[in-house]
Amino acid sequence: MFSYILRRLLLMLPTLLGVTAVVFFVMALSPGGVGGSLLNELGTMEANQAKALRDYYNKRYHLDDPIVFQYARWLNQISPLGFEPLDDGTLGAFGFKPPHLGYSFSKGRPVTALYSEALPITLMLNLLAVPIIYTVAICSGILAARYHGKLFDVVTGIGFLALWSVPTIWAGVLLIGFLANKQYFHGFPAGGLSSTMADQMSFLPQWADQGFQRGWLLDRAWHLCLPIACMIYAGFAFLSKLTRGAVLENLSADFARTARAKGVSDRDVLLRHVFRNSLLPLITVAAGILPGLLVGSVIVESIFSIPGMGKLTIDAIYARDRELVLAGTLIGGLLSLFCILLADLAYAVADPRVSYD
Amino acid sequence: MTSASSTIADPPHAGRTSDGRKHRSYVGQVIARTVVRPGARLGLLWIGVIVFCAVFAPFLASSLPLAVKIDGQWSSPLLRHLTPADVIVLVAAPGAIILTLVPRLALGNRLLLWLAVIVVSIPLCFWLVRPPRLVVYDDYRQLAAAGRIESAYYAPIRFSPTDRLRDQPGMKNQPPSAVHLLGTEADGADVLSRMIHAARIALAVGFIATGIAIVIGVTIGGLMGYFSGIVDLVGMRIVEIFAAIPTFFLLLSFVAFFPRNLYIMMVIIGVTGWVGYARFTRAEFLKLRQQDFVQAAVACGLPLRSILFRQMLPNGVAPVLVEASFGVAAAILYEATLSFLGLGLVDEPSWGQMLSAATTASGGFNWWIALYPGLAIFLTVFAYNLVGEALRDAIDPHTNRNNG
Amino acid sequence: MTLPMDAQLPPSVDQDSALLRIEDLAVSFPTERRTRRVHAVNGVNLSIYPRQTLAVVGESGCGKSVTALSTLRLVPTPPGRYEQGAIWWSPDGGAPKNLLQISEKQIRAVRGGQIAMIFQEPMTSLNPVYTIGEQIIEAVLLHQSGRAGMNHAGAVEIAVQALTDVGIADPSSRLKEYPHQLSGGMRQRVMIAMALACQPELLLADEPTTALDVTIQAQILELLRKLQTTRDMAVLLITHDLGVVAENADVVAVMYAGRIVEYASVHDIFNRPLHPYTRGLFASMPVIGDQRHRLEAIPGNVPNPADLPTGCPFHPRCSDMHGDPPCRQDVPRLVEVAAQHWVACHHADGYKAGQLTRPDVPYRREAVPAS
Repeated sequence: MFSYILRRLLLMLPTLLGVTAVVFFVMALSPGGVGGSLLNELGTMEANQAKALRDYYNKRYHLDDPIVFQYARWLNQISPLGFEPLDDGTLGAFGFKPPHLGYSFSKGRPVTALYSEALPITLMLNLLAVPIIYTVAICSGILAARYHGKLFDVVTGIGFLALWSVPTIWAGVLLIGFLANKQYFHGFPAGGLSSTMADQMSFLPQWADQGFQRGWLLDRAWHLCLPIACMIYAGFAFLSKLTRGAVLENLSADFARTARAKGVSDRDVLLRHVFRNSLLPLITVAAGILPGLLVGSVIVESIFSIPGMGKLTIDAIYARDRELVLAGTLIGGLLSLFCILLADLAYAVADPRVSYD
Repeated sequence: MTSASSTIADPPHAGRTSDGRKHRSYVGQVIARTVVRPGARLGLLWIGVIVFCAVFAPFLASSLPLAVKIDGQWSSPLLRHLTPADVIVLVAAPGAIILTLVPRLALGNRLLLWLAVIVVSIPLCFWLVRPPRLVVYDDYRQLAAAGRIESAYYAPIRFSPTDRLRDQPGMKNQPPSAVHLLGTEADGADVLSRMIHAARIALAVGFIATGIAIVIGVTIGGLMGYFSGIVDLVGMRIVEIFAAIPTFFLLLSFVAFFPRNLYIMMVIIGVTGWVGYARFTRAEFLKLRQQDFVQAAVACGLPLRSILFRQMLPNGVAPVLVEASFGVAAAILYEATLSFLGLGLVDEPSWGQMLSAATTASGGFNWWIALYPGLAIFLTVFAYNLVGEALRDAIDPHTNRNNG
Repeated sequence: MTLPMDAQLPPSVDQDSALLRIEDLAVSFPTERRTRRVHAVNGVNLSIYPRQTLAVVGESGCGKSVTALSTLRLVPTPPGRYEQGAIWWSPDGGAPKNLLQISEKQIRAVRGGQIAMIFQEPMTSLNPVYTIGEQIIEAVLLHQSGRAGMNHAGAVEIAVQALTDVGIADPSSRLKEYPHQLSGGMRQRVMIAMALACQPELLLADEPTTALDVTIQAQILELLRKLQTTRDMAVLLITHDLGVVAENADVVAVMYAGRIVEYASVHDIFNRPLHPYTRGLFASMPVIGDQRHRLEAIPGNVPNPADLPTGCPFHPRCSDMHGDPPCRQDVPRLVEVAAQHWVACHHADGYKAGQLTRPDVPYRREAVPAS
C-alpha cells in the first residue's frame, strides 16, 4: 500500500508541471504579458519616468526575461533541490534549499502569507458544505429508491434537477437582494465573514447588561448562512441520483435476495446490505466534489465579499501576477489530485475486493 | 456502463423492415424515444421559444419601424439596419428546418450540408449586407411626435437593446410598467429587449462552444480508443492535465488574459470543455474495437476514415449526445457567470451581465433586473438539463426497467 | 387466458405427515402493455414430506423458481402478485400455517429458521463487502437469539460447526475471508452452511449446481444428500438436469408453462413417463453407446408466457397430438391416472376415468450409501 501511495504522489508531479506550464504560458503569451497590469499606470507618465519605472520593474521581477526562463526560475524557486537564489538576482550553488512560493508584485506581500490567510477560509466554507450535501443527498436518494416510481421519487428527481439548473449567481443575487436588504427582509448580513466588532466579542453567546450578546461563534455562523446556502443547493442533484441508482440496482441484486431469504428484515436489507454496497460509487465521486466546490466558492466569495482563495485568484488573474497565479494553480491542482488520491484510498478501504498491493 | 455499443447501427439508407415498419437508424430510435418523455417535451418547448427569440430578435424588439410611410414614401428602416450576423442567422435557422424535412438523407450528411450553407453565406453576407454605421433611435420617435409619420408598423417590442432612451432621461431604472414590460436598466435600455437579444448570445455560445468541444473531444478520444498504445498513453496524460484543474479556474485564467470578444470566449469555453467527450468516446471506441463488425470492416480493407466515421462513430455517439446536452447547459452557465464577474462581453447584451447590475453601489436592489434575466438563464439551463436526462434515460435500458 | 381450477377440488385431507403443501398457487406479473398480467405460476399443487426430496423439472421460464420463491414469500409484490392459493407449512408436525397469509414478522422467522433457500449463482449471491463469518453469524443471531446463552461467541461456534459440516477445511480462519477470495465450489458450500446453520426442516435448492463444474457438481450433490440424512431435512430440488433427478430425487414434478404436467415417484416417471413433454425430455437425452444419426429434440420453442396457446399449452409441440379438439380447446387438469401418478394430458391412458385430486406422494427411497 505504501508503495502505491508513493507512486501516486510521484505521478502527481508531471501533471502539476503540465498544468502550471499551460496556465503560465497562456498568461505570458496573452496581450500585456506577465505583469501587464503593473504597467497600466505608465500611460499617464512622462516618457523617461515611464522608462525608469519599467526598467525598475523588469529588474526587480525579471519581467523581461524570456518566458521559459521565468517559468524555469519559478520551478527552481519552489523545488527543495535547486540553485540557491542570491540577493542580487543571480543564482548560487546547487543544493538543498527551502522551497519558496515567491513574492506577489501586485499585492506586495509574500505569496505564502496571502494564501495562508485565504486558504483556511475557503476550506472552512467547503468543509461545512460537503457534509450537508452528502447527508441530504444520500437520505433522499435512499428514500427515492425505496419508494421508486412514487410521488417522492418523481418530485425529488425533478426538484433537484431544477435546483441544479439555478445559476449560483442568480441565487446569490436573489438571496442578498431579498433577505439581506433594507428594502425587503433584512434578516442576514449582505457579506463578509464577521461583523465589524467581531474581534471584541466573546466566543460563545451570553447575556450581558446590554442584552443578548451574539458572541463570535454565532456571529460567524450567521454570516455564513447565506453563502453556504448558495454552495449546497446545487450539489444535491447529482449525488442523489447516483445514490438512487446504486440503491435500486442493489435492491434487486442476488445478495439482497439471499439476505431476505435468511430472514433479514426489509429495513436491515436496505441499510446494512444494500447501502454498504451502494457507497462505493459515492466514494469514487467524492473525488470530484471538493474541487467542484472550490470552483463554486469562487463565485460565492465574489458575491458575498468573503476574502478566500477565490477572490485572491480573481485578483491575481486581473493583475497577471505571475507568482500568485502560479501558486494558485499549484495549490488548486494539488488539492484536486489529493482528493482523487484520498477517494481511491477510501474506496480500497470500503471495498474488500480492491487492493493496491 | 451503457449497452449502447451492443446495438449495431443500421445502414442509413435502409427502407422498410420485413413487417412494413419504417426503418430508423439507432440514433433516430434514441431520439424518438426521447421526445416521447414529458420532461424532454417541456425542455424542447422552452428551447424552441428561446431559439425563436434568438433567430427573430431584430424583428421582435427594435426601436426602428419595420415599415414606415413618411411623405408618401414607404421604407423599412429595420431591414436597412440588419447586420450581417442577423442575416446569417436568418438564413441558418430556416435552413435547419428545411434540412430536417428532406427525406432520404443521412443525419451526418444533413449536418455537413447545413454547415456548408452557413460557411458559404458568411462571406456573402459580409459582402452584401452593409447597414449604416450610425443609428439614432430618437429620430423616429421625434418624427412621430411631430406627426410626420403617416402610418407605421413596428416590432412587438418598440425598443432596441442599445436604445438608451436619450430623449427620455427620466426612464432610467424603472420597474416594470405598461410601456416597458420588464422595466428598464440603469442606462435606460429596455430589459425585455435586451433579454431577447441576449438569447442570441447565450445560444451562440452554447452551441458553438459545445460544438468545438465535441470536435476536439471526439477526435482525441476516438484516436485514443482506436489506436491505444503510445497514442493512448500520451492522450491520457493530456486528459489528466485538463481534468486536474476545475474547468472554471482554467476558464477564468484564459478569459482574463485575452481581449473581450464573443468569438474568443466561445473558443475558450470549447477548448476547456472537451475532456468529458474524449473520455466517453475513448471508452466506447475501446469497447467497439473488439466487436466483430469492426474487425470485419478491417478485414475487408476499408479505409481508416470509413471505419472510424461510418462504422464506429454512429454506435459510440450515444453518450456524447447526452453529454452534449448537459454541455450546452454548462456553456451557457459559464458565459453567464463570466459576464457576471465582469470578464465577459462589453457591448452586447448578456443575461449574466444584466444580473450583475441588479444590486447598485448604493445598496439598492432592482428586483426586476435580478429576477427576469436570472429566470431566463435558469429556464434555458433547466430545459437543456431536462433534455439531457431524457436522452440518458432513453439510452440506458436499465433505467427503463427500473422505472416500470 | 383461463384462470386455474379452484373450488372444484376437495379441500386437502388432513394428512398430518406432509411438511409442506402448496395448493392452487398462482402468481402473476405485469406485462409491458400493462393491460394483462402473465401467470408465471398457474395453479400449482404439490406436497413434500419430511426427509423427502422433491425434484421440480422444467425448462427456463416454466415457473419453477417463482414457485420456490413464493414459498418464502420472496416474490417482490409491487410487480408480482399472489393471485390465489395457499401454502400450508407444518413444522415439527404442528398445526399448519398458511405462509401466504401470516404476518411479516412470522414469515421472517420462517425464512432461514424453518425453511432455507440456496440459489443458483454463488458468485453473486453472497454480499461482497462482508466476511463469510459476518454473514453466517447474522443468520444465526437472527433465529437463535431467543435461546438462552446465545451471544456472539456462541454464534461463532455454530458458524464454525456449520462450515465443518459442509466440508470446509480450517473453518475458523475461513470465517474472516471475503467471498471473492473463495472458489465457486467453496462459495456454494458456504451458502449451504449459511442456509443450514439454523437447522431448517426444508431446504429449497434452486439449481444449486448449474453454475458449477461437473466434478464440483457431484461433490455438492453428495454433500446435500449426506446432510439430508444426518439432519432429517426435506429438499425441494429445482433442476433441469434429468441425471441429477435420477440420482437424488424421491418424487418428481414436471412443470411446463406455469403448470405441473406430470407428478409421480422417480421410478414411475423414469419407467413409465405418461406426458408427451416428459417423454420428449427423456428422448432428447443422448445415451452413450446408442447409435443415432440425429438427436431428437422437442420441436418448437417454449411459448411466450404472455401469449400461451389455447387449450393445452404444449399442444403446438406435441408429436402425439392427433389434432383433436380437446387439446386445442380445454386445458388439461392434473388427474390421478394410476396409483400415485398424476398427469395432465387428454390422451394419457386412463385420463378420462382418473380422479381429480391433489398430487401427494409420500415415497422416499432408502438411504443411499455414501459413495
